[in-house]
Amino acid sequence: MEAFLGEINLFMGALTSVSLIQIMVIVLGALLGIIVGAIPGLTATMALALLIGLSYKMELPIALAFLLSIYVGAVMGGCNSAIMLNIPGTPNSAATALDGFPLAKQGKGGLAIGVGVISSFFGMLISITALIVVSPIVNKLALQFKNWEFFLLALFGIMICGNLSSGKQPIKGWIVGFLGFFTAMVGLDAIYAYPRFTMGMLSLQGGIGLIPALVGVFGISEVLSVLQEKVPYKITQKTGRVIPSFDIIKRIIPHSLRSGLVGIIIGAIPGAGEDIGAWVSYDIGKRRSKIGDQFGTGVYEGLASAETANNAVIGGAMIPLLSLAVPGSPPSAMFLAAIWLHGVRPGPMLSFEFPGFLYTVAVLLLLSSVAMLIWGLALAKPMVTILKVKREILMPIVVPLTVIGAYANGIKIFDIYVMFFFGILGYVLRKMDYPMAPLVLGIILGPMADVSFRRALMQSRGNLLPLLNPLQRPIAFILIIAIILMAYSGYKRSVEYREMGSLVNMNQ
Amino acid sequence: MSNDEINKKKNSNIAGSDLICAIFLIILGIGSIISSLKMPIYKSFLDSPGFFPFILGGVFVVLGFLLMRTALSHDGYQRMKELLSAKRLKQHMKSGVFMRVLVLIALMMFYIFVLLGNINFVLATIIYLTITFYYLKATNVINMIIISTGVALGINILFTKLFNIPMP
Repeated sequence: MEAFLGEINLFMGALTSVSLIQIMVIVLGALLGIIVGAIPGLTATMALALLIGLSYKMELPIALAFLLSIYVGAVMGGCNSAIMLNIPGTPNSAATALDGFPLAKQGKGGLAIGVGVISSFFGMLISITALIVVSPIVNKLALQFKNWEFFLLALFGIMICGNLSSGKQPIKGWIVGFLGFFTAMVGLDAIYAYPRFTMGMLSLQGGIGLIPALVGVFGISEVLSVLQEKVPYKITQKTGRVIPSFDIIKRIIPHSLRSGLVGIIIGAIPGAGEDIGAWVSYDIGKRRSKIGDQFGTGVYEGLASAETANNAVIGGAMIPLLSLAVPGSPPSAMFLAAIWLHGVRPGPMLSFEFPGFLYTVAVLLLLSSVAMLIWGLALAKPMVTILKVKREILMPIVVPLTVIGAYANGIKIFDIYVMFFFGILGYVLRKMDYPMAPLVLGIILGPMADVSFRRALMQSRGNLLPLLNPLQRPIAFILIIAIILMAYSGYKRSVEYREMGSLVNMNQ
Repeated sequence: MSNDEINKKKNSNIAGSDLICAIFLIILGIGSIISSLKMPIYKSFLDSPGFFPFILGGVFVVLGFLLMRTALSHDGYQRMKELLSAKRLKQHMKSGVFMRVLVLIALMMFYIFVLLGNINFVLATIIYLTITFYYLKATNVINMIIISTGVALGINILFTKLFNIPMP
């Protein structure tokens, strides 16, 4: 109890130190985030990728406020188009459309958006609480991490992220995850400064820039994916009333509580992300709810299950990010890359190097949530006008923004080329059903995996036996068991998929 | 066509590209192993720069073979032959989606590799956006020019004046 009160005090301390400029930035950031998130094709990750360039020259407290408010706003913003157009503004809102669009067709689009916004706010509140309570515990645990544990954590991240994000063929998730590792190998080796895979190019000696690669994967490839086909859409439904009645709010609260917890757990899994959180929560809600059979026909409970979870993922994703430098979702990976540029190195030492950073993040997330709630409800009707803007106009505008996003940090034209290469690579991989989240995670965790693995092997003189002793290295032992389980379940799913193919061939 | 049939068709199409991917992955893996063995060893191979790429190379080879096995079980060899056949390539060239993506990539390349760095950023962006809008038939010509100019100037002012970030 005392520890909890101490955390509340630290949180209140961080709250009182928020400046007026930060609040103004949050108001603006949440608005920008909601608009970008609402536009079909512009994801929360893309929102951060595009606007990251603006944060380079900001001071750290302002940059944090800016990036977090965009993140919170963009994740929620997707529900507008999911409900009114049946086209999710972001993949996070795909599950929202299942009940949101039928509600819009019944003339309750405004109310559905209102429920979506309020559920997102609930999700944020629950996940911020979890962030404050759980992070210090994870942080204490993280202090026990040594080289072996960091290497195994990186490997576990790739395995679980690959498993969760690639549907029938987890092997594809693993492949892109390890390709991410490989990408991180390019450039001077961190221990001996030996140039690896640079092909004699001086520009590659510094390695492949994380931000150019991420901007390419989530910017250029997204532009191509959206513009490859003409998908005309128009809004025919009226928005109607927006603020839900107390009765509706009472009905969604139990669903929001459950979905909030699901969102936090999914968020804490490396790379899993908001879309997986929303789907898992929707599925659990459907099975657990008394009116589960009505899910998909236009019920507020279904909508709340998806919307609460996708926003709750944000707080959940911040837990491994701040404690272990492992992002829980693709947008949080962008956030991690951005704060690295500002000299903040998340991980076990964060609480020593930047005391109070966790609480600053929690406070900024809370204020962003409030801004999101107000803007979300206020913009429900005007957003219809924004959604009418053609994608053929919006998406090309993204390209110059990705160029600046890649260029602005290092002021190198080469970074623009890297961004373009990764954009095309991302597009091709997407077309072949490869998920992007493990690739991003691989690029981020690659250097940690490389250095930790080599150092660990050197320290143990190549002896792997200590890893198998749960008394000597309990965390490493648990991680190994988890990796084996992940590999087994993923392999089993791949075998099932393969057998399905063999059966089809036999029948032909 | 039922959902099941659509899924089966998609799976078999993917099987062809999976097989190509698997071959590429195995080659990448072998290449990585060979390159890593050429890297210097300082104290021991375990902490040498080539050690991790060596392991990764091995992982790629294993994953490549697993992917190949799955692709072959989905009739991947036949699909790959179809995918690379002259008839299919011609079909691809004629398909709207393929051409659209190709043109969009070409326009981006023109913007990034030809215009940027050689002419002023604002001018380069106006040219790129106007041509792209025109290709996509986004709106009428006057609006295209107005939007392109507005966006290019807006981005320039926002980044250079407000945030002190130089343009490429």
